[in-house]
Amino acid sequence: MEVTRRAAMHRQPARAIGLQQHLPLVAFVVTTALVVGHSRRLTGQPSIAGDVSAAQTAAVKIYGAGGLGGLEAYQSGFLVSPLGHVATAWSYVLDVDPIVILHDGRRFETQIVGFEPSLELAVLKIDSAELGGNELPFFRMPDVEVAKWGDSVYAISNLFGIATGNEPASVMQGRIAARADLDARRGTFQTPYRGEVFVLDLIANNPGAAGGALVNARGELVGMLGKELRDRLTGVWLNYAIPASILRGPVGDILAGRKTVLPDESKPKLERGQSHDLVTLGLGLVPDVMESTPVFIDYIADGSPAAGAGLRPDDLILLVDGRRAAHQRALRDQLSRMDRRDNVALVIQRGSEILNVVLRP
Amino acid sequence: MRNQPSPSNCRSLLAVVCSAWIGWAGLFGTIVWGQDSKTLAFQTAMAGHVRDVAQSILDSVVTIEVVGVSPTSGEVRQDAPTAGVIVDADGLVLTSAQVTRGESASILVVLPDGSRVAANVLGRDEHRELVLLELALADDAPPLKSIDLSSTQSTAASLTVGQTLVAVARYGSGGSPMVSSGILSAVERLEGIAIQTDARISPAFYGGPLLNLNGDVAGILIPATGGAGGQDPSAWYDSGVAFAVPSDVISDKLIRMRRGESIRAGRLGFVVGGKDPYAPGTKLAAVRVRSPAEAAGLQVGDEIIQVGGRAVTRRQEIKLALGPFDAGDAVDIEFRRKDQTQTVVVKLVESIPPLQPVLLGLIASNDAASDDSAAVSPPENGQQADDPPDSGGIVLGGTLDDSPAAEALRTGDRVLRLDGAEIADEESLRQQLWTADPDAPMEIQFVRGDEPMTIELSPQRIEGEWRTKQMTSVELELSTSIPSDASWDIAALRLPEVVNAAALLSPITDDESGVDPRRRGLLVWLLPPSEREPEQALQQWREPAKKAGVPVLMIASANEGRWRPLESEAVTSLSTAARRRCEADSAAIVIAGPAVLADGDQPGPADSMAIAVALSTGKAFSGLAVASPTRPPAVRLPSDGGLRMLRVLFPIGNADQLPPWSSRLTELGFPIQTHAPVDQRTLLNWVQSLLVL
Repeated sequence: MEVTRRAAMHRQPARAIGLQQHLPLVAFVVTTALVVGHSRRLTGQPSIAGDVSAAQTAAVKIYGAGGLGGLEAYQSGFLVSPLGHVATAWSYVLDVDPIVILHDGRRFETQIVGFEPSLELAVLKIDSAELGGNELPFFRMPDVEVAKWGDSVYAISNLFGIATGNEPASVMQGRIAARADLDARRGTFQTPYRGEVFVLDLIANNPGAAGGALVNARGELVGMLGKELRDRLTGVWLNYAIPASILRGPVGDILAGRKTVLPDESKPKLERGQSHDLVTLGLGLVPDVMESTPVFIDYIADGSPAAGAGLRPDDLILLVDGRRAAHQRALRDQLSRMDRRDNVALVIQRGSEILNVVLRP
Repeated sequence: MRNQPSPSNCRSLLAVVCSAWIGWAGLFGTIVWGQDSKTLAFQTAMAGHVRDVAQSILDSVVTIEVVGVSPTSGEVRQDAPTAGVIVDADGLVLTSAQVTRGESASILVVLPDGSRVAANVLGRDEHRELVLLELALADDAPPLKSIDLSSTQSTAASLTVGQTLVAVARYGSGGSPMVSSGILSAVERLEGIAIQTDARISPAFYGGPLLNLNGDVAGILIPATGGAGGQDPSAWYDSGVAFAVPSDVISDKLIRMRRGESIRAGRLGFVVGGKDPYAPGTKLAAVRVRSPAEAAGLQVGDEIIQVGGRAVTRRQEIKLALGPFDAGDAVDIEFRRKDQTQTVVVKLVESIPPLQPVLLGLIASNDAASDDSAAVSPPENGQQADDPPDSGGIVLGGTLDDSPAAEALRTGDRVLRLDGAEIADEESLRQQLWTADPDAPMEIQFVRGDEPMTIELSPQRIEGEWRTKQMTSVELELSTSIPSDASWDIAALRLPEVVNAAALLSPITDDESGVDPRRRGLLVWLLPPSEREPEQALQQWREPAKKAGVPVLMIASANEGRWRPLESEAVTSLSTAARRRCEADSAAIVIAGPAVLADGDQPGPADSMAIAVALSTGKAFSGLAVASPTRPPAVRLPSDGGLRMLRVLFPIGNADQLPPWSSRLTELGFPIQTHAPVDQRTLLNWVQSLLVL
């Protein structure tokens, strides 16, 4: 709660001290006349070290799938509610239900409750019962922009998996270099995200750092660190974060329960012959050989709703009517609760693109 | 916990904690710990200030795109967009050499308003990796805002290590302002041409300005790496080690670049003696023919005291003092000759006529064979070592048949002076012969018995056909008294962090049955990528190697299928280790590709690799033997400015069959020798011939 309380306090009109009162000093500090005439509000805030270390308590480490072929089985995240909602980057690490380790070493199993493919955002949820009524420190999603280019920022992440056991995530300091559209190279490292990012002048986007928190000197959330990507035009590694202002809407929807990707088990299973299934939609999937085989399309039946919606082999089905199809079993279960006369809305990934399609029976 | 005494109205802001801001210590002088509540205020002010500094120059910062560049293997794309600065409102943009690194169809400048204008190269500073572009502006183009580099106060004197610096560029399709901040890490880097910053500099910043917090341009960022930085100048992007050319230097160079000139590093043409560049001593070991140093009257033996007003005591300091000077610049050289101090003004040139190294045919005695020591043991007739004329110089073990020295000098003669300059050791004599005038007779002073003598010899060019007939005497001299039981053996050579398999065929030096006393070179043989067993491949070299007295190091590529350029470091380390192990003479280390032998295969990757290694790795190799049809690899030559004494053997009958790229070798001053056919025996003899002076 510490972070929240502090964040709340920041929104109070703090006693502002005009820069001009300290003019001789500032002139000394920055050795310049350029500052003169700029009225910059300096507020008497608590120390940065305090704010940043408080922010560190709301950052988490996430462990999941991976560990083979040079892929790390860990990444980073941060709490966005006192009840244990964790925002992180959507990646293969989340292919199994991930383990979240808090700053103090407490360890929780989590469920993926929210998922915004176009932002590569996932929200995990710690089981409330396991928290035993305790509230957790968390970042409030800011409703105003709290940082701009040139500002000093701190990246909090589990980069390289340095933090083990109950060690908290690492904090690095740098500056927002620019705010610009993400222009990442397609290829091995892909992202569907094409919006604005904060480009950073610190080497923040390392293995395991994806999903980490970028905070300002007040400890307020500025953005979420993205995956490792190369810049399309120069070919070099990018250091960037997706602005919190862009994440705010989707995270808010998920927290408020307006949007969830958890499988909907409230609707009853329909009788065979009344519900959808793979055959009615014309979908052929890759062989279901694992406990959680991803929903990759193998073939499309001619003239089927799937063909009509333009689906193709190798498309990966992510969401069915907004609910996550984590594996083929989940997809079949979802379809068995849907009337075969109804449309089926899918979110699929094709290459690095995220597409919305509707299958009409 | 120190408190800064200050006026009370300032104290609150001055009391700043910089736990994460150590770098700003230079700005504050004193940092107060423990009152960190004002850090936020400081950071907020600093962030705003960084933006103000960037905004103050942003109207003059452009993005530069290159179009139609062929892709390369490097990490940074050859056509990466970089930055530039408008230095003249009529349409001149200063940027880094990154934009001319590859041949491009077009160079486009994206102006601050987002419009694109074609540009062409007006002038270059190749010495400092800068390029001046001229924009093809339309008559009705909106006016540009230029910066005046000469007006900035950021001279070398005003730069303080630790002061905050801000790099400014534009990023993305929208041309968003982009900054990166850090501190000044050092001045006078890259041999005195650049300042260094720890700001993370990604390629988009190259060519852009680096400013201090007054908004003065401290320098223009360039892609560059330090001495050990490898082939790709942009390899150190985002590393915290970045370089910029200081603005006061640039404003000076801009005058020439505006005239369309190309500025290049200046050359003087002398060689300072000694193996260790950091050891005290600045005596000249050689002065190149037709060089500015020669024209100014500098001589071998002169001791350099000052270069351009800077006192120098070591070879490295001379290099640093000369670093900032360009071709065409005049530099004062103060030197001492026989207790007399003199100063000459030397005008540096872009290039000195290629060297035409010569030899006299001298073979130093076996006793003098100590690679790592310049000491010469006293002759066997028992003369006192402390008697000056009888110590120093080189004792001859013989002369090369049919060479300039053949008739005139004998075994046992002690050669003391060449053209009046004392001969300190073999290395310095070699340097003198390498830089001498091939057409001028040489005066040799020597002692025979007790009698001092002087003769004049006409040296012989190394370049040309290599005659094996001459070698008979070398073999004799260098091969005397082989103990018949001296044993040679093959052993695997392994180094930490080197994955290449390697094996060395050499005499067993700690063998009780008798140590092979012969002076020897070393043949380094690169195996074709398909051959994986160096030990096995060495078997067929056993007899010829022992007979010639030349150890052979065989190296396999790291991966089956190819040799990669990166492996040249491994080859060099293995060769150095082998040279130490078999006590070979560093003047005769030869690298060869398998196609050099008459019965060898067509040239392949191993042959190209041999060229790459020989040319790219400093002074590790003194000979290169390759088949002439070998495809030359792309090599970035080391620019350490030192004298490289490398000679090349092509297995061809006459000079008409030389490959076209061999002219580049001649320009570099690497003499080419030819001989056909080359078999194992002749190749090993050629290795030994490199010991001849």
